[in-house]
Amino acid sequence: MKKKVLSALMATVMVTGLAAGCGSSAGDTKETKDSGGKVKITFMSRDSGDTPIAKVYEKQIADFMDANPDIEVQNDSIYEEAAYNNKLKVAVSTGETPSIFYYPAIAGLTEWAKNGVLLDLTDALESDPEWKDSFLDGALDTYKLDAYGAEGIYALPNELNVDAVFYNKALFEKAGIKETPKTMDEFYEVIDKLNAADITPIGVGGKNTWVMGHIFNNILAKRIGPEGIVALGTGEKKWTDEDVVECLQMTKDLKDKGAFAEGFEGMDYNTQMNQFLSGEVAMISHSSPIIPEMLATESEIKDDIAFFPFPSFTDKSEYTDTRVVYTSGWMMSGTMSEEEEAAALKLVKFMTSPESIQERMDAAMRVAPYKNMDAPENAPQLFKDMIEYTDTISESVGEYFDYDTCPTLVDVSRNGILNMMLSDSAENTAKAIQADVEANRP
Amino acid sequence: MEKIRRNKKVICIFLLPSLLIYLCFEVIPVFMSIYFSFNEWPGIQSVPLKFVGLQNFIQLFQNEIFLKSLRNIGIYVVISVLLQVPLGFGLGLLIHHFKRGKRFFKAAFFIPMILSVTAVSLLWNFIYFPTEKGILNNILLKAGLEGWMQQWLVNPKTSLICLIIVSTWTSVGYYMIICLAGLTSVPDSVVEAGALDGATGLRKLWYIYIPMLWDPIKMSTIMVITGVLKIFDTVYILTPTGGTNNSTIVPALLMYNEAYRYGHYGTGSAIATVIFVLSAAVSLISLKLMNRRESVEY
Amino acid sequence: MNKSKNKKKYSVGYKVSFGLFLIIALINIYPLVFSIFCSFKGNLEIFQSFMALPEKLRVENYVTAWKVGNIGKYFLNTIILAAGTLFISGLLGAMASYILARFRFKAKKYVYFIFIAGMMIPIQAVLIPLSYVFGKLGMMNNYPMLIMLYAAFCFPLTVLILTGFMNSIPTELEEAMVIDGAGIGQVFFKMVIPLTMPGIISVSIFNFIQVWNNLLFPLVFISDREKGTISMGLLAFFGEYSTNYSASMAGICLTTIPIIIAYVLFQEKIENGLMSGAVKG
Repeated sequence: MKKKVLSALMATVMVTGLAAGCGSSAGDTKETKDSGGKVKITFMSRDSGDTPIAKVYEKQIADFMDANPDIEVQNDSIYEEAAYNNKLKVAVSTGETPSIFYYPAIAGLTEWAKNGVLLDLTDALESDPEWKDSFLDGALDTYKLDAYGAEGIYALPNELNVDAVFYNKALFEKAGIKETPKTMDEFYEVIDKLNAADITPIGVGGKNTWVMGHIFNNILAKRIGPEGIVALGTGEKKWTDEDVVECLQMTKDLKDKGAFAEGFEGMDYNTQMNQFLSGEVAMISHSSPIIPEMLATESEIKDDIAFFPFPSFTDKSEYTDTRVVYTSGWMMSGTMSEEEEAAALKLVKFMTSPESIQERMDAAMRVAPYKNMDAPENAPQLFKDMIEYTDTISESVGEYFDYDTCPTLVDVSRNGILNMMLSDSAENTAKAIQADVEANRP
Repeated sequence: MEKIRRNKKVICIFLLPSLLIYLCFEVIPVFMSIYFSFNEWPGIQSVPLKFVGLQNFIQLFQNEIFLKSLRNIGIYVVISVLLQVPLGFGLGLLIHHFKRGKRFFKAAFFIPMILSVTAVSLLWNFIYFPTEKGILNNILLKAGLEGWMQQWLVNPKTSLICLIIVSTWTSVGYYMIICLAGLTSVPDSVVEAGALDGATGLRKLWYIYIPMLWDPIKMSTIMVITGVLKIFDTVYILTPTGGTNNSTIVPALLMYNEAYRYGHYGTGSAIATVIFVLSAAVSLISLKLMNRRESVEY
Repeated sequence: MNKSKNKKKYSVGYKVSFGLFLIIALINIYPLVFSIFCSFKGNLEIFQSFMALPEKLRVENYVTAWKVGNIGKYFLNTIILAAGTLFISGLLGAMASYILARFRFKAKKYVYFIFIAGMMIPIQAVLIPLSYVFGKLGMMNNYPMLIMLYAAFCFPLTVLILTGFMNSIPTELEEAMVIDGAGIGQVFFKMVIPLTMPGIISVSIFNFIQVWNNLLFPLVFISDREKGTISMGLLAFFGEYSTNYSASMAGICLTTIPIIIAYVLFQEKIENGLMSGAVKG
């Protein structure tokens, strides 16, 4: 009996102690230096393993440590999405946020920004005009969260994912298609011609709901434009508005027009890529980082791959030049000690120096939002075309949920869109998404 | 002997080492998690917990998706118990009677247990592949049963049962091993005596094996119930979004999303608490039911 | 006459069930064969024909897996962790189970329930509290601590199964030993452990699988890459836009096949060897 009381007591003491600790301020000073007097910082990206980009990061971190023997950088990068997310969320919740990390959100960062998880980079940028000036005009504004109630810049854009429709030239020829479609009507014609030639037009791995989500996002960008998408995110506009429902309906109509393979809802993304790379389907909707991935495979159609911008709507000519570009950025921890912060800034500046960026572009074909970048001479034509195309983009918008602080929107909308493809109506889907946004927007 | 069995010193020496490790590493975190479920917390260290009482639970039970997940997990548990325990023990009893190939058979059922989820999910994805290229659909096509072909994991009518089949396949080996271990620790003389009394076939199963293996059967049932109620991996890998119209959504998947993806840590912990309470209740009820049948002393 | 007739009848049933069983067993082995096939295929090839034999043997997948997944080092690390966990959970778990099965004290029911309750909590639910404790106490990358953590999560199942097994051992044997003058330690190690060996081995197999496939704990509690585990190594093949299934399957084969062989070779040996030393009732 005594033991029972003892253990219960112990448990209670520890629970209250730890829970109080969990909620306490981040003020406790951490051990920042190891025994050798080195400042230790952590770098956590989604690039690990044997990919070209991961190898460049490894090399750059090693170079940095050689040049700065007083700093030790631990590379905690994990490629796999769920594992990455688990590790990062646990780190943030215990106050061990990595010094430099990646997280796919913009408005979704607000909660972190407000609570000191993230470092406001405004001062650092202001104090180094040359560095600040090296970013593409407007690129730094991507992570300005003033509109959501957190003043400041909370991430450095480091990569541009430019959306496009990649297609197989040989299959287009086979179906008698001479020109790539510029408008949606032309796009529908292309679909019909491909179907007539017994070729599946668009490969979609519906099980990975982001694939269908990206197609919807492109339609949205071309119909309600960047202002519309931002208004949707801030709540000025509703999902149940007629024009948004219309976009959902158009996404659903693609299926009825025979754009996708039978059973695409149950296929996964790997199947989709395989279908495209083995010449079974004519097109995929994707973004620029897929270029090196496709070219690294043993596919026989590699030389036939080209791309065209997502088609526009003739009745919405004001958005003809609107392009979907997803920015990914580096966030920095707001709970670092002064020494750590200085070291982390040093690393991030090193990583965003023109040489480093050029190195990553050369080795891993990454498109970065910095000035004066050129594709190397010996780069594959597909990548050169992409760089050239990126330079022509004057107006761009990201993912609709990036502009919304509602954390559940990404899942609810993407799952909703897939359900809509299967059975639900556009109206019901819009209603369900709107209800979720209203319930879960903080 | 009676005296030894009450000796406090012996009890402490034998029990305390494991109990202490267990308390520190599991019980305390569990208590913390339960404590979290009465609070609102965005998963940020510097934000203090905000006590909200039962609000997280009230909201949960008003949430349609959560109720659906409870319904799904209920079906999952019932079918799994009825499928996995009899299957595992049936296989175990058969293997026990085989004179040759025991090792081979044991190894065969060990494979699904040890094989990494990556391999398992890739394989089942191919089996359930939605077109006629899929292994299952292909077999149906060749058997002339085109009408039966399905988008197995997409169709809300088939997706849950498909998942139950996968988890049965990966875990039947556990119960087979428990059954075999139970059989080895039981004296052969009991069975022989029973056989001499004229018990054969089903009678032998009913009057000798089941009573003899009753304890292992009870343990296995508890294992199935507790294992299924917190099931996550199989569901997440084969239907990451919880299926069409939430047809395969389960509480643990919702919990994961709330806590790790949406930053609703309190809600996530509340779901964990519900899983815990349900699990305890169902286990206790089934133990009560099964204890009616006394295990035989020999 | 009568006897031989019975025997014949028995052997037909035996043959049928044996044959049926063989088929089920072969279906179970198929995933392994499938993994081996995939490990020799190219990435595109895997998706083109699910069941087919590899076009050619791509041994380079294994080279990639070994290097990128750091398989050699991680295999050893995982074995060390697993061995430590099995020892702690087996020994301490058996001790606790013995008390819970045989001894009498007031809180027994509750202690038993607390142990079993551990099976009812999803592991993700305790990850944040745990990592808070671990981080605060500086237990990151600490193998002895990790072994205790793993063992703690193995105790519920261990106690459930071993208590059940110990319940079914006749008590007379123990009493006889005590009357002969043996202490409780002797009774436990010389009789209870050998008699419950089948149970201990079964539960150790389960615990091994737990440690082997656990990704969350090493993911969160190991940051030193030299100390990683197999499950972490296999993550290296998953990408945002592509999964290197070929290398991943090669890695799975490299790590799983030795375990299956070890299981086949040693399981019965350990069981029989230890059982023979026991007093069989």
